Amino acid sequence: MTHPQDLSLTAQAEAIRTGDLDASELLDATLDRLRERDGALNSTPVVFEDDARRMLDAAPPGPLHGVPLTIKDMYALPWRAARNGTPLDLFPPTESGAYRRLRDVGAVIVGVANQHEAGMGTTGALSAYGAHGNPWQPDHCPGGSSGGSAAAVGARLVAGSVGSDSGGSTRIPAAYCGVVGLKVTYRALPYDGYFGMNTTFSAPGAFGRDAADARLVAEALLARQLRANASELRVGIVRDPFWTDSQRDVVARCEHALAAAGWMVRDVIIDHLELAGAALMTRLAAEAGCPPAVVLDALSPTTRALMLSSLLRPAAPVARADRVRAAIRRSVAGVLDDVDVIAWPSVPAVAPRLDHPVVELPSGLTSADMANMRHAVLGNLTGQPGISIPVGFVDGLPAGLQLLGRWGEEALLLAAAEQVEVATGREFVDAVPPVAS
Amino acid sequence: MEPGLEAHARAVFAKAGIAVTDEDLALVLLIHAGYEASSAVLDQIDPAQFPYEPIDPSRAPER
Repeated sequence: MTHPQDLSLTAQAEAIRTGDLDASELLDATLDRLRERDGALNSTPVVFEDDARRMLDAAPPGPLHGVPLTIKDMYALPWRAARNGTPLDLFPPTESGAYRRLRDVGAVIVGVANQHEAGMGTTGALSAYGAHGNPWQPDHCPGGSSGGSAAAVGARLVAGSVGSDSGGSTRIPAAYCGVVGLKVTYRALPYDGYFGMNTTFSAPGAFGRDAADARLVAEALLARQLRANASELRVGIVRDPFWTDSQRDVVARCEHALAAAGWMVRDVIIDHLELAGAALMTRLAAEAGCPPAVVLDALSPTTRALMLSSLLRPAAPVARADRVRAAIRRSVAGVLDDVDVIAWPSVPAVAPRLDHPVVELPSGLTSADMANMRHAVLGNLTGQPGISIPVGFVDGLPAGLQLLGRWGEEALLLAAAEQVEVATGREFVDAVPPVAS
Repeated sequence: MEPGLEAHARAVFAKAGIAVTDEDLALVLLIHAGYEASSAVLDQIDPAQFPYEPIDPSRAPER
């Protein structure tokens, strides 16, 4: 008999609705699976058995009625503070906006998704809960900072999860773990009780094994239907550096997906793209700032030093970063007047080992963080939605194609992901990692 | 490393009431050097090419 967590999120919700699956039995099976399978991954270090049962007992009818999800440690819940991957209660327990949206459609939050400490990394190697692993090769990075969300969905521990994305933190782990990750438009849902409320970049992210599942999570978060037709998209390609400086096999998988989808593809140019990384990092560091000593003392040496270093930074570059950001926002808006989406590899190289998070690109060896951020920042500088779609494997690890869309056009991105899935025979979204076999 | 940066850093952290170890400081200075290197491109921009304009990040970018 099929384990209910081997069903898609969509199938779970439908089976509950029709009475073919009992929500209480699904919760029990999910708790069992987390206990049995998460040891090697550490994707969901905190499980809410009692609170999940209470949430299920009170769950209203809705599109996600009775379906278990995990949520990143950046969201406060009524029974638990948000810790942001640290040992400290940083945001007091409350009904965060994301929690309310999930609760109102009947979802059951079954655990906290692990994340890179304080959201300050894209590897998953650092966390108060310990490093977390990739379902395809557990000693490789799951990505970050929403690595626990992507790993749990990829490993079929849960079928959906909510993460966040301030500098690629949804799209990067989705690519590393071979799942769909949608960063929604900035401020598209209530930000109260969410760590991202204090930045001008951060947006929640929806994870699913395929586009339909990510759509269910995103529709809950955004409280609206997300249907569109993507059969005839105009796709813009920013050739340099996104395609020219990515691993050859990653590029080949992305090119194959675009060709299979049958879209019209043409090169586009985004002005001042070479300044985007510096603009985002400068602004992001200024906004993150440095927490009080009691918080610093609880952090790993690396994250502590990252935060301390913000105290040394001059203000002048922040003003320049804002000027650059304004110019880049104009340029991207102009490009998206002429094409429907912009496409490039979600990450330039597949997931490196957790103990050596370095990748080799045509331009040379570089830290995975730097490489990943380069491919992520546009969506955060502009606030527009972005998605990572599984498009194949390189050395047994997933590769992802990123699409950046217009403001509020999450529906088109999800439809585009579905188009790629159909065009590739669902080969990559239905692939089962060894940890889930 | 910029001359005097270490002393400046110690003074800044002391003023903020944050005790730092030599190991902390070494990491901070390493990170700061990386930041300086990566943000140097922002020092080169021509203000005329990048006029100041207010951004509302909660609204769609416009051409």
